Amino acid sequence: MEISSRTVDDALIATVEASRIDSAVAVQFKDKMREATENESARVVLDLSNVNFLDSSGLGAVVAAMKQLGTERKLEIAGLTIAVDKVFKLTRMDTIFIIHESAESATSRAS
Amino acid sequence: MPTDAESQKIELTLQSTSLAVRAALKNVVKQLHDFGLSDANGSVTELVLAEVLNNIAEHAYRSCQPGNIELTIHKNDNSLNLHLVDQGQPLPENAIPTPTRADLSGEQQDLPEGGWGWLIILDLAEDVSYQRLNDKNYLNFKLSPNRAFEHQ
Repeated sequence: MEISSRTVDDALIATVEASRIDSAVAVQFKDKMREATENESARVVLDLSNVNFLDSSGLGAVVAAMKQLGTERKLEIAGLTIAVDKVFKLTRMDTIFIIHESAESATSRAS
Repeated sequence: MPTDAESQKIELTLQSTSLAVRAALKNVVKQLHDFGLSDANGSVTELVLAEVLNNIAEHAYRSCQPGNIELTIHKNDNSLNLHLVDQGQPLPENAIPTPTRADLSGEQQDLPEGGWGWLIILDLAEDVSYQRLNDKNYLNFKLSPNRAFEHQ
């Protein structure tokens, strides 16, 4: 699994370049997120728009990635596909993260 | 494409490793699609099945010593009936767990990183039953996410 990152204003956008975050890649996801977010940026937006399958191991890895950022930076999430959105809602984790419709809306001034 | 009800059955045996689980899910989703199941219902099935298979791999077989999992799915007009058999450790107290939702109001560092598997399964599946018989685990459940799966 690859995570690509780019900076838009004060935000780092980390885009998961894989269609699944499951138990086979959960540990790898955490490591790649640690690497991607090493540089200090005010905000971190995790773009999940390419991900169409996330199970509870994958969700656990997303929570772990948020904890890795420490208390100074919040992990924001963008681009939930229908199936992934369902997992966030079922587990009520949609109440924990700031969720944006897309990476673009997460960084546009209008939002 | 299968047309009669007899042929709408999926049977497979897989090893309890995360890569074998991934391959089995891909296989099942493709066959369900061929049976005429919508993508939305296919994805609900994939999620529930992933949680069940991960539980067997991580708890029944304790990750370190993979074993076989037998999976059978029957598609009826309105639902899928799923049957799983494994030879791993029994469920605690020989019963389906009754998960509680974790308190999410505390500090970020205290948030749970798991424990959602059974919540997801019990939220989406119906008639979940478990039996321990002759050192094997038998788990059965039904899925009818839209209450009306599409016909061929």
